Amino acid sequence: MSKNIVVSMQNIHKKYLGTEIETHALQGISLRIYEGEFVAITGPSGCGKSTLLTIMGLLDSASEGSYHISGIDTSSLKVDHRTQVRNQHIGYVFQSFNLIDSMTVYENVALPLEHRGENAQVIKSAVTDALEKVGMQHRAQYKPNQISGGQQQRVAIARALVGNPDLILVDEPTGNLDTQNGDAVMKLLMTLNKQGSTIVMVTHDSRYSGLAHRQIQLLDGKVVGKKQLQTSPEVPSKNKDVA
Amino acid sequence: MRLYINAFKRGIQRIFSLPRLSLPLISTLGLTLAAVLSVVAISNTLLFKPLPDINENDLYQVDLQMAFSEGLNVQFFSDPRRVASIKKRYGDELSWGHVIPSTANIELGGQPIEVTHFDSVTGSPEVLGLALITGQSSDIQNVEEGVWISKSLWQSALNSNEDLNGKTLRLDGEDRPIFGVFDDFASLNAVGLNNQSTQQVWRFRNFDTLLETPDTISLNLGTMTFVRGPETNMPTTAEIEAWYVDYVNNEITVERAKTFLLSKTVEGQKTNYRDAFIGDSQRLAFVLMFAMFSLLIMACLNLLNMFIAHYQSRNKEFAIHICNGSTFTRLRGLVFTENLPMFILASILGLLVAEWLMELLPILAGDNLPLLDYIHLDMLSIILALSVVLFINAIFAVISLIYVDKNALTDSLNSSGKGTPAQQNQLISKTLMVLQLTLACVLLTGASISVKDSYDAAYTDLGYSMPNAYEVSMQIIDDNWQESMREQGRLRGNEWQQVRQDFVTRLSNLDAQVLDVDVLPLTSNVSLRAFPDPDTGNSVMIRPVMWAPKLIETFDITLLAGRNLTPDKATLSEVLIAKAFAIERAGEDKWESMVGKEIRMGEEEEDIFLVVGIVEDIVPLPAGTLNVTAPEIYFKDPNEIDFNRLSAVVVMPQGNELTREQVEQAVKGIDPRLNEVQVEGMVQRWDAVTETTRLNMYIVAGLALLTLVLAAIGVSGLSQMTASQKRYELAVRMATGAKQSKLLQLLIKDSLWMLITGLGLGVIAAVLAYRFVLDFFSSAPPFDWAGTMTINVLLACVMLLSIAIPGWRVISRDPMRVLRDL
Repeated sequence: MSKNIVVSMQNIHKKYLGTEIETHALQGISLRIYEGEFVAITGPSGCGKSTLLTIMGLLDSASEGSYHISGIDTSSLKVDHRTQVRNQHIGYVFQSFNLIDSMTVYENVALPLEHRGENAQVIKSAVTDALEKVGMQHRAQYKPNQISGGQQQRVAIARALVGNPDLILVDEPTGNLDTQNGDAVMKLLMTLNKQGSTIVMVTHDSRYSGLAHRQIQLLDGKVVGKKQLQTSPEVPSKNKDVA
Repeated sequence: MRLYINAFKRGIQRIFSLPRLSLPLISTLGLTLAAVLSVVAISNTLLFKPLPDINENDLYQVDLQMAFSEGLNVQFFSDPRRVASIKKRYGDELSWGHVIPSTANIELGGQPIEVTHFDSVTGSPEVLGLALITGQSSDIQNVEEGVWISKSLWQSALNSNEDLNGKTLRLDGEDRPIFGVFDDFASLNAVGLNNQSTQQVWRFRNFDTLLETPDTISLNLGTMTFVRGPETNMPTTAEIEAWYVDYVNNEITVERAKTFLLSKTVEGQKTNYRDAFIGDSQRLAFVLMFAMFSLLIMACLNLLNMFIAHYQSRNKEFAIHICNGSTFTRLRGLVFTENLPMFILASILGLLVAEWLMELLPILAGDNLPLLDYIHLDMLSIILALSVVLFINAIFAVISLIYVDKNALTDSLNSSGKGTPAQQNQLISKTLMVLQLTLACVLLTGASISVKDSYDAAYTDLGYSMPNAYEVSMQIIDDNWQESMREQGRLRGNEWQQVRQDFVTRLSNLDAQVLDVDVLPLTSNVSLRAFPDPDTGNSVMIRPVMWAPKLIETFDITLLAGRNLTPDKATLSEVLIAKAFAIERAGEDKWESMVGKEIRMGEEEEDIFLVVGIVEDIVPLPAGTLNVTAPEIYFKDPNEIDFNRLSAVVVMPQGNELTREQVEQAVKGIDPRLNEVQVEGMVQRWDAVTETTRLNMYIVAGLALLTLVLAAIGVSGLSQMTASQKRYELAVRMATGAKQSKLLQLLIKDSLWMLITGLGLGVIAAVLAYRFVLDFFSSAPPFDWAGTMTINVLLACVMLLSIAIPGWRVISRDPMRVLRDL
């Protein structure tokens, strides 16, 4: 049984330089995430969870250290190249969904593929698949403000997985949802993971972090604990149609 | 591609769904673009396109300017005989032409038509390269018997009928055969020609026989002498001046005139025809171009600030795009595409308004610009319009996204929308606003000086009032009769005076007051007379004015000293003199002391005059129209009588109009050698004379107002943006007890440095720019510090209001309501 490394971080630091104070948000984080894993990053508020996720998602860059995603060294990448890597390899789900209100559900989900320059047929097929997976195909022509918060989060997940990324990063997916919708979204993430998606999720909710295979606990920008919660599932061969 | 198509479709929808963005853009950009396009079309026609009617290659205008009196230059070539003389000197190497344009009334096909009349010499149209449409050329033997007409007149009055046999037109009371048709002569910038028209009539004198008659010893304005030939063969200015000395010595036989002419400074001129024809219009085009481009820039800066504000509110959307794999270039492309429908509409509006402005140009520009009928929008204008809007759109697309920080996407993605995000520091918006204020200062300063100058010129105190007075005149159409009367000269009771008396008596039947003077005080028909100072021998220049009983009272000309003239006969001829003349002649004595003194204006006994009174100086026409500084002397018996026309002044009761028909009826049958009754009201004349100045004033004032409005919109937009972005902070401050006045101070303080910097830089730039304008235009009015300061204080007040009002609207709301809205 072989495990492909999707994320490899070595000694990651992140400093924010203010006019008077320097904030050291991450202090030497090193970790690896394997293909097919479902990892939860946990910790109290201000411990650096979201900062770590944004660096992982190439939305921000580390002050120090090296970060490889799918074997690509990201430290030397220029902005547009980082964008390209993000488009090809990463799907990102935000706590606040970040859907574009002026676009329909279909158009929002199609966005990564449009930016990738795929043709209309490919886009249609992939978007339809993604919306089916999250159970939102019947709302394809709706605008985000016409659907509920839980549905918006499902659309955001569909957008994250439509480009068949190697890694799906999920930032507090249930933070803006009630328990019922939160449970539904977690169920969906677990299903996607079972279908082969590698998922890294930031959460401070212990109920949901317990559903992950592995937990990485942060405190004051450092990893203070790693917990293997379940036997790492046998890594399935990745089903490209699904992911 | 779909993204771009969708962006374009969204752009179309946004025209209707986002009117606060689309309407200002379409209207502001469209209108300023129209102004720019109009100026570009004008410049292109004036400066670059070949002249539409004549062949300008190897064609030059020559002139010999004589400093007749202070501020008044006259053209020595005003008599074509002199052109014939210089032509003879240069032989066949060069072709010469001469034109005296004027306005005339003709009758063609029974219809009275006002035309531009060219009194010219044989071969002139051919020298210009003006195409002969039909008929005979102008160098035929019997050229003086007939006339030639322009193509426009031929088309409108003769329906382009090529058979000119038997076709005549009535000019100066005579029917003259039409010998040919020339193309319209448009490349002509005639001084003093009120209505330059393409309805034209040419009359020619035989160039070769002009030297057979003596020089008329007269000097006029508004003539044009041109010559065609290789530049190497052209006379130099020094050669023209040398010819002048020879001519005066050999051809002027009256000694007094010869001495006078040789005492004057002359300046030979030889100018490329186009340069002479365009004249100051070239500089005017540059100034207009600067003003219009400045307005366009101001409008763009405004719109750009609006766009930045709009796109700042969409930061999150762009961050989402980038997060999902869009490059920055693609985002800019999407913004460009999204804005394309609005910009296309703006350019369509710009083109339509520009075309409309072109139609209005003859009214707007009056006589200030030549070739008005040939200024149109063409393919170049359309390409220029599209290029300009696409360029502006591209710039907007680049700058609008400037606040999207690609290195800190999470800031945008996670922003709460409350307060001002760190990346929205407004530095660019404020810099743009400073730039806009600086430009506004420059434009407003120039405009205020120009408006004040135009106002002073149009509404200057002329030294007399404007009663309901009319100048009534008739033309003498019999040259022999005129000649015989001229020979009778100043003999009292001569035939001319009898005709004149009859004329005045007949006019008295109109139930109005008739003044036996030749012209109204407001007149372009100015005679000047020079006499040698008996003490120094220097030439003294005066403006003789006819006096009549009630003249001074009717026009409220102030009598400053002495008494008025009376109709009674006296031993010595009595005169009234203007104050300026009294000051000049009194020397070190008081000017009032001139009353009772004698003035000798010649060698004869009858050239001695007794000054009985001194009156205020009067100005024949508002400033800038006619530069005559010679002082007036009022004569009871006019020494200079205009033999070309019989005229008098009729003052009607207020509210009553004097018509041409009334006058024709009154003078019916006076003498068959008199024709062409003309009636012109004083107020109408003032309206006509000041029309262009007033129109310029209104246009420039409109431009200034537009500048002020643009600046106000820009600053209030920025203030609105600042207040809107700070509304969370303001609401929290309000909720915690800050007074509204304190919050208003906070907002004003935030924008104050921008205001001070913009106005400070603006005043410096305005002074520098105006110094440049003064170097460019010698006739530009001097810099006006008081006016500049006033207009800038006004600008500052408007700006403060523009900052305060939008801010006040935010802080006047209930704080909890603001907080709830966020």
